[in-house]
Amino acid sequence: MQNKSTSHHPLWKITLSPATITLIPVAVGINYVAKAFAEGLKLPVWLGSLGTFLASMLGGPLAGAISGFTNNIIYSLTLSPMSGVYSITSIAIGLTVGLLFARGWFKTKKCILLAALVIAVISAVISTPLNIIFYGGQTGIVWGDTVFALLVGHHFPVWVASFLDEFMLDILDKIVVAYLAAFIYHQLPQRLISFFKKVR
Amino acid sequence: MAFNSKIVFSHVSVSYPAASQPALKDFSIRLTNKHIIGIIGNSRAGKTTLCHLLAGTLPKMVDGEVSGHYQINQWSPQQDWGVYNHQTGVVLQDASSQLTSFTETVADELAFNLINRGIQSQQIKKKVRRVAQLFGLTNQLTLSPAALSGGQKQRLAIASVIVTDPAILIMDDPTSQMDPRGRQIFFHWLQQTTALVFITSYEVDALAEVADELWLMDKGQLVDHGTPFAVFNRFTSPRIKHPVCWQLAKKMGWVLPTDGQSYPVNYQQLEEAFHAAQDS
Amino acid sequence: MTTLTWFQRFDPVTKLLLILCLGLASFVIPTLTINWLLVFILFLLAISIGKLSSLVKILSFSLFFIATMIIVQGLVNPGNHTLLWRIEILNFYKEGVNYALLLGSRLLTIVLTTFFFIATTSVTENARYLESQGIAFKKVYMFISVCYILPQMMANLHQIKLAQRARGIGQQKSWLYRFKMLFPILVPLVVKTLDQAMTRAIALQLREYDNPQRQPQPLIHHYLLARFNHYLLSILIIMLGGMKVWLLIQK
Repeated sequence: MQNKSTSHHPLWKITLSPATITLIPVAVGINYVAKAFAEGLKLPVWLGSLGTFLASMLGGPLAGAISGFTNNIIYSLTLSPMSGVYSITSIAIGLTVGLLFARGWFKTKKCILLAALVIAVISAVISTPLNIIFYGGQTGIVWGDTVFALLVGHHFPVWVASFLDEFMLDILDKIVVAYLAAFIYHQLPQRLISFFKKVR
Repeated sequence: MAFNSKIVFSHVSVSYPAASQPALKDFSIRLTNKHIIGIIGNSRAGKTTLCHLLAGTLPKMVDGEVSGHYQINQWSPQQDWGVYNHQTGVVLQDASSQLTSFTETVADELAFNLINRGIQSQQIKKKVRRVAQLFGLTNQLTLSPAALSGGQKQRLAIASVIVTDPAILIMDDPTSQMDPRGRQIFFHWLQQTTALVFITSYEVDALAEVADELWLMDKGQLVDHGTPFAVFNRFTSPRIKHPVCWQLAKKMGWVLPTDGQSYPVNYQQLEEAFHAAQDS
Repeated sequence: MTTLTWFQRFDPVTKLLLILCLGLASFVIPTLTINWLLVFILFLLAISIGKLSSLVKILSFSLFFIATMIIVQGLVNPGNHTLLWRIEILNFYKEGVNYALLLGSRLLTIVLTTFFFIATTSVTENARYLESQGIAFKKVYMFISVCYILPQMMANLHQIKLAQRARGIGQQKSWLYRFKMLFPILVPLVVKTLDQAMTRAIALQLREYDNPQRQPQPLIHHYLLARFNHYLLSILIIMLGGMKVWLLIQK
């Protein structure tokens, strides 16, 4: 009678259960609030992927990927049209977080740091070509772009400069988001966790 | 009015994962022909767990280990969930989260359950107008649900559930955000309904007026049950309020003439006891 | 029925395909003048819709960003060699500036077509159209609830910001102090939001949102040639995509 089977579900399975279809909008909402919150506090990070992280942890890599994708599509249709392009990055972040979480990378403080590094690298690797195609390599964040201009001015290849521009901005952000998401996850009541785990 | 209902609970227990104490312990009761069942008790008494069991959401959606057997009328909420759910209307504790959150108007929110059931749009309009009138929402029909007050949202949540005329109603503290006027509208309506009603509430005065059966719960157990009159005259726990009628009559020493020792729990009985005291 | 404006006669999918089509076109067209001509025409269209304040808001960020691209590319683009202007010690080169202008025209094409979509369709209209096309309400629900969650969260956030201001957070304090502020405010908000989501998921099932009997609601507008438009635009998109690939191979 007891629903113990939830923890044995395969990582890659997803059904559009009621839990999934409410988790994804909420993830998008959390992304938005966290981002606006960071702006309000004038923090040097975006926090705009907090919801995607939580969706991956609760619902698995696919739920996270769908959250990230939906997030950027909705942003591009409502707030900033160009963010649709970066939906690919968000999908990758969702998948990576889900996989690392399932492998227990979010259990200890050291592991989380390592996970954040991996996520930041993946995020930057995917964003860099997009930045080059659409913005000639810039990111639109002043201090990152200053570094970009300096490096290109000193004859570094555009893609190296662009990658460093993006990575510098990403690394701090992803470390903060990873710790914050892990902290929140451990704060969640058991009934919430087991409810959303049924997503899979 | 005679109601044709049947409620059976036989040794039902519920444990949530990672909880040290069971939320419901060996709950047993067998009743027939009841109309409105009021469920009272302190917080953590197991009222919400009981509502989830009655709605069939536990263990289907809420994780928990359920043992024992229970049945409402001819249905087992656990085994016949689809059929059973079609007959029930459920108002959850957090009523404003129960709203869909995407309808643009109150009228659309009221129509949601009807649209899901494939009802004709002419009939939908008629039914929506009727429930809006019942719950004092006619002037709000074109507003956004987000613009309503907490009490209005609660009335909207109830109205959008009863719009399908469910045979069984399960309501978890449905008036917590309402003002006195809203509560009055609600309990007046409740008395008129033909559905079998399970309602948890802290409004002991209103329950004493409308309920024909009261369940008193504590720490996951059914401590006492019977008519409001019987239950309120039996228990003495200072942690749960008695109806104002009862408190007043006790202070004044107005006992009911029928047994000469019990106090009235609703207005009608109070009148009786008052006149009896005047006569003697 | 009131008379429809021209843009209400197109269904949401046609409009989305149009965004994709024009976006691709701006990547295929190599000439700066034609690209900016396209931007100019789209700009006139956007003005004709009204809603100028949101247009200004959405454009101001893009224009600021294009300005920084002109500066960065004009100064340091690796292909720079024809001097355009000289301001004090800064040399701006023609190649970089042109490159930035080309990227800028593409950016504005996407921004303006998207604005056109946002300004002319409502969420309800989109939802009803999708459902009428046979998409399961579950999926449509996900789409619409995402659209509605942003305003709701903004309202929550507004309250938080007021509370923050009342406590005097955000100006003078150190980064570490401000980081710490995440915990008492953001964390409970996230937990509460997830809790509400759970209630909503349960309620949706109780309210039979996936009942197979559910009837799609009537469409808000009657659309012109929806199917034809979809085919035409899809073919155009495939052709433009092919051209872009061909141009890349030619290089």
